[in-house]
This record gives sequence, structure tokens and C-alpha cells, in this order.
Amino acid sequence: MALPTPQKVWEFDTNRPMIGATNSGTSHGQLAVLMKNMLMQVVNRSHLYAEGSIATVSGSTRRIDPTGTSDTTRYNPSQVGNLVGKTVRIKGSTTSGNNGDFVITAQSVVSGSVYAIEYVNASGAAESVAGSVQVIDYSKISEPWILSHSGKSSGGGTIESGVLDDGVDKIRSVADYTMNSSAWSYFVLRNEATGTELMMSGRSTGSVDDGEMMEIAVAMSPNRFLARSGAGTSPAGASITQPDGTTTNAHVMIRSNSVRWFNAVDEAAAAWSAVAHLAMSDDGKHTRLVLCYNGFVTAAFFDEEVQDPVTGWDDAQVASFITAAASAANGITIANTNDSAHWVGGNIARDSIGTLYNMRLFSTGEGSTTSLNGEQVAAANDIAGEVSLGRIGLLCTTPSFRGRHGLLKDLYWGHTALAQGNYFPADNTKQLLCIGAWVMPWDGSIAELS
Amino acid sequence: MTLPAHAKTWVFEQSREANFLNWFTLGQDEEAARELILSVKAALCGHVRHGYSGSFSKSGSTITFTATTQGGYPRTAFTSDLIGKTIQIVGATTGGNNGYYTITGVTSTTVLTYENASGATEAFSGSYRVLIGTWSSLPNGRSPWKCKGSGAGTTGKGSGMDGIDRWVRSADLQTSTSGVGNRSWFVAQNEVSGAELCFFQYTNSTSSEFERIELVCSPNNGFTGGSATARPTATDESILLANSIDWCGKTDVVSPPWRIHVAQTTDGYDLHLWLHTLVDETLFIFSRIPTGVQGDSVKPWNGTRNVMGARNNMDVASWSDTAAAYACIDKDASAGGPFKPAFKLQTDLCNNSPLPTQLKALRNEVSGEYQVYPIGLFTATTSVRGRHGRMPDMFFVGDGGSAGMPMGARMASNAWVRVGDFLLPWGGSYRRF
Repeated sequence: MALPTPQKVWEFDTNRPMIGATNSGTSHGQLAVLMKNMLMQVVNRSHLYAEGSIATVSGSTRRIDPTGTSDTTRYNPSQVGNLVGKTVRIKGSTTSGNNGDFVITAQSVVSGSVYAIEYVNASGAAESVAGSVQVIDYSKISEPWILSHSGKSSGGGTIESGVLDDGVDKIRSVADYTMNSSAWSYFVLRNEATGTELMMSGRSTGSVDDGEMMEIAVAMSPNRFLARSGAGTSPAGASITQPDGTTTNAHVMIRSNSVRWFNAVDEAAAAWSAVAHLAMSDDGKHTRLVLCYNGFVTAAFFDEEVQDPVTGWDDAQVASFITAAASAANGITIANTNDSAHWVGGNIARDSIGTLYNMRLFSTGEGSTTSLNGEQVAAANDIAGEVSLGRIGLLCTTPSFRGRHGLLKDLYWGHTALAQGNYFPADNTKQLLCIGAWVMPWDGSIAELS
Repeated sequence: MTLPAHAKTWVFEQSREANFLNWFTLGQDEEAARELILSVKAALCGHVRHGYSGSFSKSGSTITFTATTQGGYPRTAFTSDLIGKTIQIVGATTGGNNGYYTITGVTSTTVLTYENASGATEAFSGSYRVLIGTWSSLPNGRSPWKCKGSGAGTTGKGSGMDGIDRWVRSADLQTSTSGVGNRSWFVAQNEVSGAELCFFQYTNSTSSEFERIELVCSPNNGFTGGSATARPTATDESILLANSIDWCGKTDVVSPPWRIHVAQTTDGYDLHLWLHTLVDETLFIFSRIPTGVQGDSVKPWNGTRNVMGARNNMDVASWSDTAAAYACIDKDASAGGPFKPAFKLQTDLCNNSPLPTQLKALRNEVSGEYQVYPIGLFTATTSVRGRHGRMPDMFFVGDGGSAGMPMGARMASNAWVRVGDFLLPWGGSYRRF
């Protein structure tokens, strides 16, 4: 196969495991928190919320001291690695001058295994931490997502309503991410490069397997999620009138709480674990977060700039959260991604008709009869001996807005016999990876699939 | 999208009305079918008159040719408008009588003259054809398709792979049932690409139905043999139209006029030929050279890479769902073969059907631009599986069976025409469908 020339510059954070795999009833929450922290490139265990204190070391140098908190080792180099040079983001501090992004200048010993982080901020003041502190690592991903707002239910302690754009991350740990049918937590992440917002809430159905079903939604720019008004609600977008006169929310519920969001993995079953892979373009326009379990890709989140969008579709962007069929033995396949309108597009306007919000799109590929080429012949091209990679198009079938409206970049269909984790080319450089239903650029590492 | 420029230069013979000289007299469906196939053959080979047998009389270097059995389009008789056109003589006893000559005079409806210093006076039992005069940009200034051989059953003309066209009138076409008896055949050969088509009057019905023929292609190796009862065969042959179905649709329910459209590329390699009734397309034949053949630099196809297809419709579902085009591929000496990949015409697809079927609209509803779909060649045939290139100058458009532009609509300054679910190069003028 002649490798296609990448259209974007890609950055990777691969093989990141789910922390603390357990069957305690919170494993799905662990995965949600992993996704959140990975998209924001928050260093594992480095997060602190409404605990600890900000103190002045000398002059403009400040220190965040976790003494007395539930996890005093969160800044210990042996636990979280070297944080010097990374960025600490403070949100929600009572003294507004404390809020902002600052470069960590030192990890200093407070006592024993308790370490503090130091940074320079001439505007800050000493006080207890009232908001959230995140340590962000830009070394792998240069344009990570940010947290727009979050809300915490009583299950995670004090009820904290969300405040639009306060940036305060109340989901410090899995315990803060309450998954329940009557009270739940949520967070809204925002990609500043694209305007896409991703909302995950722990609203579940049933009482036994909380977390197997939760709400996952996106809002495409310029649409936004509004803040949650109180405990036990999930944020929604504003009401919008569609061209046909119906009304809809400014967000799209991609996975409702009535269907499993992560395959059929049983929350209450034996301990299980997952591994996540993140790829983003250096301009932030493309995000691919792939979740693997048991050797398969079980769920994947995409936020993609559209190539060659149809005239009339400005700032064309699509997002999707695709999950495997409801069987623990199955991963995402070409069939279950090509046969449904999995993609949500940003607003698209048509003269004399109006603007369609939350356009739904199929992902198309070359095929005949009822299936793509890669489904009909699960083999390399017999003449060339090469694997054919198929481009992925985007089709809208909504009346008045019908058409093939663009292509996805650097994402291809393979064929059904390609094993998960197959690499291309054959020289072991691993420039492309077969993962899920797709073939995409890769960083050369060995992709762990469980 | 903005419609692309043609990948190749095309020439056209548009809106050629099929000849039904005897159909009106006889009023027979089978007669109509036979007249129709003669018209298709004439359009494919690019001639306006043809015939069999006669005599040559030489005076100086001038040959006076008298025809005995005449056929042709739009009529059989010689007329003065043939002056300046080219006549081809095949099968004369004296070799010097054979060849291509420019007609200098028409003496009567059966007599014409031309210059040929090498000719001789003698009786003639071969065939002639007068070529259309507008294809000067094609190789040799004529259609690359010619008669390689023919058989006329037991009509007295015999059979042979000798270049003689024995298909003059409908009476020359014989058929029979269930694979026995006398049957007529005709092999058309592209003298540039080597592609060949064999029309075989053969029905598997219990009665002699001329509506049913077998159309067979040989993309590379060529047909040999043939007799009064059997058609020629080729090592790389594939059946394009089976003898179990009515060709050109139901000829017994459709009235004339039928119009034939032929397009050829100026390099001689590529052909589109389609047939319209008043309400539908009933035949589409192509012989094409694909582009972007995967593996071009690795293990190329041997031969000329002709891809040949035919169907009784121009519906995307039909061409996409069932293999309808064939090629001949020799991968290498050790791989066996020749392999005969059966190609489906593939295009963008999702949700279990091609986009032209799903969208139906001719234009993108947001941009207003034409929504056309490139066509690829895909085969699941063992040993040659894969997608093997694209069809230049051929696209699918929204399903013609639904709302959209009317069938046969011309597009983009007449450079393209929508015909059925296909978008094909067009000659820039308005003609009837």
C-alpha cells in the first residue's frame, strides 16, 4: 500500500490505562474521568479541588500545598513524575488574581512525602483553595480541550451546581463523578480550536448497573451547553427552531441513558480495565479518543474538521461518539459505523430555507450492492498485493439539506479481516494503525488494546 | 461539484434513429428485434450503408461497384450524399479490390464509383460498408470498430472470421432454441484496443425469439472459430447479456423511434453506446480503459486493460448490485489465468445502498451544485480481488427513477448528459432522445 500523505500534523498520547480498574461499581466512572483528564491533558493524580492552600513562598512565587488533603502525595515526583515546566491551571479561587495558567517552577518538599508545587504569580494571594487546580502537560498535545463547567451531585459530597465558563473542575476523582438515576454529576469539555463541546453526565437508569448507561452529548459551534441549574439535571443547550418549524436543543444526545455506552461491559462483573489513545492535530481541529477493551475498540470520540465541505457549510466540523454493538465480544466494525448516521455536523445554512442545526450524517465509503469494498472482500488487492484504503465521506439525508457534504481527513476504511492493531507499512514504523473500523495515523508505538 | 472537464476528447454520433424498414411492414416483434440489432451493429461500426455481394467493373483506375444485397442506415440505397465518404470492401477474390476508398460518384441506387488502381473486374461475394464522414479525428479517420467475422446460419452467406459482414438484412439473422440449430453471429473488433464483442442470435427459450441474444465480450484475447450453428469463442470471454432475458427490454411493447447514441474517444480506445426508447434506456454498452489502476507500477494488467460492460438498463442499482463489466488480467506467468474479473460499478455507499439511490436529487440541496459520483471498478473474483481503478468520464447521478431533472437532460453547456443514472460526455448539441 502506498501510504497516503497526512493532511495534518498529528500529536499523540497513546496507551493511557484506566486508573484503578475495579468492579466496585465505579469502573465506568473511572473511564469517564480518564477521558476527561486525557482530553485536557491533566496529569494523573495531580488534580485538586477545594482542598489545600495557596501560600506565598517569597515575592511573587506561590506554592500550592496539599497538606491535610485526601491525597497529600499528588505532587510527589515519585507518584506523578516531574511537574516542573508543566502548567498549573487555577480556577474558582476567591481572589481572582489567583486564577489563571502558570508554569510550575519547582516541586518542593513540605514534609516527608508531601510535596508542593511552586509557580510565579504577582497577582496572587494566600488563601485556601476554593476552586480547582489542574496540572496540565502540553508536551504531547499542544491544543488540548479545556473544561467549560462541571457540576457535582451529593453522591460526591457537597452539591455543586455548574457555572457557565467558570472552568472549575469539580470532578477531582471518580468519587466526585456520581452515577445514579436520581442524582448525578456532569462535566462539559470544550475544544477552543473548533468550538465543539462534549458533555458527559452520570445520569443512569436502573439502580444496579449504574454507569453502564450514562448521557453523552455534543454541542457543535456556535451552539453551547448551558450550565446545570442544580443537582440531578444534566446541562442542555438552548431551544432552537429548525427550518421545518420543530424545535430542538442546541445539543445532540449521542448516547442516552437508556443504552449502554461502553459495549456490554458489566459494571458489576469481575474487575476489568481499558486503555485509551488520543490523537489530535497540532491545530486542535481534529480529536480522536479511542477506548479499547478486551482487544477491541469499544468506543471512540471524534471531533473532526471537514475536508472540502460543500459550499454553504461554514466552519464545517463534525463530531461523533461511536460505540460497539452490545456484545462484550465485539468491537466497532465497518458495518455498525457505516450503516447509521453517527456523525453530528455543525450548523449548515441554505438560502430561503434557513439553518439546520445538529445535522446528522452518515459516513460513506466506496462500495457496491449493500456493503463497502472492505466488507465484500476482506483481503488485500490481489493484483497489487496492497491493502486498499477507502476515503470516508459525509452524507446528509435530511430533506432540504440532502447531499454529500465533505470528507474526513486522515481517516480511512480498511477491510474486515484487518486485525485490530495491525500496522502499516510493513517496515515496522507503524505510521498507520488499524483500529476499530478505521485506519488512521499513528505514532509508532505498539497499541495496547486491553 | 462543478462538472469536470472531459478526461479524454470524445466524438459523437448522436440520436441515430434505429432502422425499422421491415418492422412497419411485418409488424412483428421479432422482426423489430432483428432490425434493432442491425442498427446497433451499424452504429457501433460507424457505417451508414452496408451490403453483401455484387460486382466490380474497372475502367482505367476507376471502379464501378454494383451492389446486390443492400442494407444500412438511414436507408439502403446509394444516394449522392455518399460522395466523399469512405467505402470499405472486404472479401473480394482479387486482393487489390479490398480496402478503403473515397466514393467519387453515385450512378444509381445500387451503383457507385471510386478510384482504385489496384482493383479488377470481377464478381463480388464479400461485404461493403460506407462509413460516416464525421469521425476524421479518430484513428484512421473512422470508427475503430469493424467486422472481424460473421455467420449467417444457412442463409447462403456462410460464416467465417474473415472480416465479411454477412448481417445485411433481418433475414440474415437466424436463431433457434435451446442451443441447437442454425444461428447467426457477428464479431465486432476494435482495431485499436483489440477489444471484441460477439453478438449471437441464440435464445434459450422454447420458441425462436429474436428478442433474446447473447452478447459476449473478449477484452484482450479475441474470438476464434464460429460456424453456422455455433458462435466463436475466446479464452477470455465473458457473457455480458445472457440469452435468458430480452435484450433491449421488451421490444414487443415498445414502438419506434429508438435512438442510438455512440461516443468514441479520439484515441480509439473508449466507447459508450446506449439506446433510448421513448420512455427509457434499454441498452448500454461500453468498452473503456480505466485510470488509476491500483498496482500500475507493481503488477500491471497485461494487454490493453479493456473493461467491457453491457446491460439492458442504465440504473445504478443494477450496475452496482451485479457484476456487469469484465476484463482480462494475466497477473504473471506463474499465477495461472487469464483471469476474468467480474466488475461491479462501485460508488459511494452507506446505510446499505449507493448514494445515488439514497439521495435521488440531482443537485446538492445546500450548494445547488451537481451531485455526481465517481465510478470505480471492484471485483470479488478469486485471484484478482480488489478495486482496480476508476472509470474516467463516467459518473453516477441521482436515481433517475425519482424527482430530478428529466431523463436525458443535458448539463453544463451540453458537455455532459444525464442518461438514466449515468452522467456521460455529450457532444454539445441538443438532440432527441
